[in-house]
Amino acid sequence: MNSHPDQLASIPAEFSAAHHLTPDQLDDHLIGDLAPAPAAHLAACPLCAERVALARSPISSFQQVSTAWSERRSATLPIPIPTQRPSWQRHTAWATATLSMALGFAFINATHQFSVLNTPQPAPATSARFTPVQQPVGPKARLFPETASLAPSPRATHISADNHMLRAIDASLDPSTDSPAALGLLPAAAPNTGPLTSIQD
Amino acid sequence: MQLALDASIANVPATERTASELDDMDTLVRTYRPRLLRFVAFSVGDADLAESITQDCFLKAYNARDRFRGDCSISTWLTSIAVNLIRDQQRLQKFRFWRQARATAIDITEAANFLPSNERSPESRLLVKEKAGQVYAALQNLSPNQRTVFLMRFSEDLELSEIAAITHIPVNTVKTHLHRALKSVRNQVRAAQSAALPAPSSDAVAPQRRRKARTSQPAAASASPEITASHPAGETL
Repeated sequence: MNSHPDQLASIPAEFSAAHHLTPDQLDDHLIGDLAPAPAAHLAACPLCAERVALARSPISSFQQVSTAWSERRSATLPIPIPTQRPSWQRHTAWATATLSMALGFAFINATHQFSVLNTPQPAPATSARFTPVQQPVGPKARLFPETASLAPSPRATHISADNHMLRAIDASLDPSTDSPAALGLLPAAAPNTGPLTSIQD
Repeated sequence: MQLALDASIANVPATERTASELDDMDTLVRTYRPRLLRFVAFSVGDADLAESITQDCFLKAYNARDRFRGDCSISTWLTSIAVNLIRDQQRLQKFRFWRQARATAIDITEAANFLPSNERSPESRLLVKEKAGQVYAALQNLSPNQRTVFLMRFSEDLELSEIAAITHIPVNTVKTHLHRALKSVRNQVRAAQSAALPAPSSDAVAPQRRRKARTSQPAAASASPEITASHPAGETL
């Protein structure tokens, strides 16, 4: 209502009793632009108030339904706020992932090489030459006790003893040691040595 | 919830309040989205398009929040942005779906199911649904300007001066649009109501006329001044 109480008091009483609102005045009231005199009549006339309520009814029904629809629609459709990381965080994440992959490959490669070095080598073919044992057998001997019993002892004293034994065998098999001089059958040094068959004075 | 929010921020100075409200996008959307979505949706008649326009509206408002001077309320400012976006859609001829078959058109019957059921009977709910559907159907036959001012006045409860400021048209032109829109809606609603009523048969009408003729003399004699007073309108909605 746009009518002020002072204005309402100054309106003649016969106007509000005799003249009902026209359709245009009803529209004016719904729009919110009703003059003070018809507004005073509307305040006093139940028939016009009923007409106003009847005219407002479809509009208020539409307002109720549209409000319910929009509130329901807004409540069931929450607005997702996208959270995107800044560029430096993405770059750091990529660098970390790359470094982790590189370290993983390096670790796998090192593990593979270590396992290859620890694998026992097959025994060489029979050789007359002496080859001293240089590489002690590692923990695989403990892992495989049945093969560890055939393997040489890893201790240094045993290795040196084996080397001495192998040298002795090698020396015994050397053909240069079978000469008569080596056996003590010939004089040690003879500057003018002739044939062995010559008789020396 | 809207009233509670308004009451809680009533004591805060207007400039600080608007600045903080515009900076807090989440609160801004939570507070004004249902109202803005309602206006846009029933202006364009397409729910998905209304969602898109509403989102664009909040995005534009957030980007232009430094240029908001506080001359009007945030709701009015947002509505003016939405009106401009709707006009852009009209210029781009994307409004053809309004009068044609629309895949995401608003189903007013389905929308009426969202009415709170604890305060009215099923009959009154059905009546509200029927009336809302009639008004919604009448809205589709209005011109864009009439529909815009009608929704602003009767759905958003904006004052005439606010409507004039938002639409950038004089107040008297707003009144003219509203009068025409009201008459058009009233006529269409009346036509829909008369079409929905079943036509009385001749057997049912005849006894009523005879009964009315018998009782017309005493009724006229004892009629009250209110009923017999001249009624210039002579019609109801």
